[in-house]
Formats: sequence, structure tokens, C-alpha cells
Amino acid sequence: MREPNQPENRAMTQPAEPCPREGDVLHALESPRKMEMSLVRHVEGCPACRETVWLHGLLAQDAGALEAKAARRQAAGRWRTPAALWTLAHRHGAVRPEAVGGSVRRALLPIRVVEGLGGLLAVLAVLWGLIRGLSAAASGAVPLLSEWGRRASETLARGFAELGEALATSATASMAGSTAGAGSPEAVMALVVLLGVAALAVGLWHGWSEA
Amino acid sequence: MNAATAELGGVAPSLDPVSGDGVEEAGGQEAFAAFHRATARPLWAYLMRSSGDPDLADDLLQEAYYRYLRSGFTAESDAHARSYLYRVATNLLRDYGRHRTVQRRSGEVEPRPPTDDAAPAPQAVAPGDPAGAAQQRRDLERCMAELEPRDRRLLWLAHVEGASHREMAAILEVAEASVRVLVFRARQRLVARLRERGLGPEESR
Repeated sequence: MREPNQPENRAMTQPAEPCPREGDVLHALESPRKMEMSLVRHVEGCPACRETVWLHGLLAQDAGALEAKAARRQAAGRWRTPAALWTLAHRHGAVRPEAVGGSVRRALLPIRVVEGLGGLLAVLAVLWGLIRGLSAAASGAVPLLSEWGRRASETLARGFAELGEALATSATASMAGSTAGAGSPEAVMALVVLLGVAALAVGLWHGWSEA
Repeated sequence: MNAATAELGGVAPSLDPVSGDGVEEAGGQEAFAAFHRATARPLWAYLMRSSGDPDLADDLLQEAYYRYLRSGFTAESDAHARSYLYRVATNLLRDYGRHRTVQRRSGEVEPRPPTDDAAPAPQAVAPGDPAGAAQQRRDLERCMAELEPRDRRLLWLAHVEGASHREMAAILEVAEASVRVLVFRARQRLVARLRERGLGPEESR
């Protein structure tokens, strides 16, 4: 069987997988010191490394030519100067992490999800109120606006009071775990409304700042 | 990736875009100017070879620095700063690619016609032959343009920027373990295209 580095076999040989010494070869090509003889012999016999070296030379030539072209474009004033870029970047004040791309956007995803859930809760709270109002109107038991409005405001007021009381109690005696009233339907409803309003406010602020 | 940033003198840019302190701000601006001097031309070359459009490379270059400054990023080393800048630039390239695809699908822009129809047949390049070298570069340019964008970036980062697998994985957002194989496959695809044009490691001997 012929060795792959024999001249008549070179054109036929296609490397099937990356060479384990590719890293050494690339490192030797990058560093100014001379390539070791053992590595030179390896490259001669390894089709993958031979391709690597050849392509490395081609791409290095291309990069040199492109950098020269870049210098000409820079000298022609096609690029903003570093000082102008610096001024421009500082003009708007606040930093926007969204600007840096995919990874940061992914990191912010949980926050977006929470914002979205908050908005959804707010919508559900409004819908729930509407359904209550409509069902009261359908039953004909009470005049719609005055009676339902009175009930809703009473319920909410009671809920806020209980929620406030529960929060104050838990803040002062958190170790004791006294959260009386926190589980009542009125308090839960008040909490949902509060969260919904807060989420809407955050969403509106976020949208406004993005715009 | 340290050779081109040697101009920074081994000092991290330590950019703090939101610093209001005058002295720190001036120092930051100087560090940024040095960072820009060391990185702008290689980065333009990367953007140019990845996008194939010099005007777009101009725009993306400035956008990359602008976003870099606006991100509030603080570099741990010059290599870290450089790697982060390339990551921002790569994200911009990717976003632009998606935008072009959407425009093309909606018929807003026509795909670019291939420009190599009238290209002369490739010939063996003698050492020291400038015309032959220029032709070889044109062939390489066309073959690179035919590759997938990720392949172009992989090859450029591996061979021109001398980026480590870890840096390439961070810049291109791929798994570090797969970088070696991805580079190998990209190289095979490029070499196959070059061979079709009569170029190859054997032919250039």
C-alpha cells in the first residue's frame, strides 16, 4: 500500500477527518519560530495538514490585501474616528444591554417572560371583572353599574386592607409566620390587581423607552 | 488573537461607557482609541470577507464599535475585549443576513447575480507572480463567497485571526467541542471549490 505523501497519490488523497496535530501546525504557523522538523515531516505526509498549511497561506495573503484596502478606506474618511464613536456612544446616556446581541437577549428572556405573565394576569383580572359585571347584569338582580361598582370597590378595599395588614404582620413578625388574611379571596384579588397594574406600568415604560 | 492587540501594551481597554468622571473618561477614550487602532482594520477585513460587501463592512464596523461602547462591557484582558468585539460584529452580520433573507423572500431585493461568469480560467501561479497572485485571490474570494456564512467566519477566525477554539465558540455561539470538526468541514468545502477551479495544495507546488 502506498503512503499518502507519495507525489502520485497526493491529488487523489482527500482527508476524511481532522488531524490530531492540526492545532500544533496552526500554532507553528502563527508563531514566528521555525517549524520543528518532525512537524514538517508530518505535514508532508498528512493530507489534512497539507491543506491546512496551503489554505493558511492563501487566507493570510487575502487578509493582508484586505487590511491594506481597509487602511485606504480609513484614510479616505469612510469611517468615523474613535473620538466620534466615543461621543456618539455617550450621547444617549443609558446603556442598553439589548444592543450586544443574542447571548444577552437570551439572558433577559426570563425577565421578558415574567413581564408577559404579569400582563396576562392583568388582562385576566379585567376579564374576570367584566364577566362578574355581565353575569350580575344578566341575572337582573341588581342595577349593573351602581351595585357591581359598589361591590367591587368594597371587595377591593377589603382586599387591600387585608393584604396591607398581612404584609405588615409578616414584616414585623416574619419568623412567627403570621400571615392572617393573606389567603382570603379579596386579598388575592387585590394582589392580582396590584401585580397587573405594576406589570402594565413596566410594559408601558419599557415600550416607551424602546421607542 | 494577541498579536494585533500588542499596540494596547497588554493593557485591557477597561472601557466604562457610563463613567461620568472626567479623568477616567479621558483615560477610557484613549484606551478605546488604541483598541480601535489595533482592531479596526482586521475587523473590517473579517466583515468584508464574511459579507462580501465593502460598504456594508464600513457600516457594520462602526455599528460594532458603537454597540461595544454602549454595552457597558468591561474587558478582563485585551484578548477578551477583542473576542467580545468580534462577537458583537458577528451578531450584526447574522442580523443583517436574516434581514436580507426576509427582504429577498418578500421580493424587496433581488439576489446578487454571480460576478464570476467572465472570469478567466485559473492558471498555475508562479512564485513572485503578482498577476497570478491577484487571480488566485479573486478565485479564493469567489470560493469563499460560495460558502455558508458560518463556514466563512470559521475559516477566517481559525486561519487569519488565530482564534482559539474557545474564542471561536464564544464568537460564533457554537459548542467548543464541535469547533474542530466544523473548521475541518468548512476547510474541506473551500478546498473542494478551489480544486474545481484548478487550485489546490498539489497544483501550487
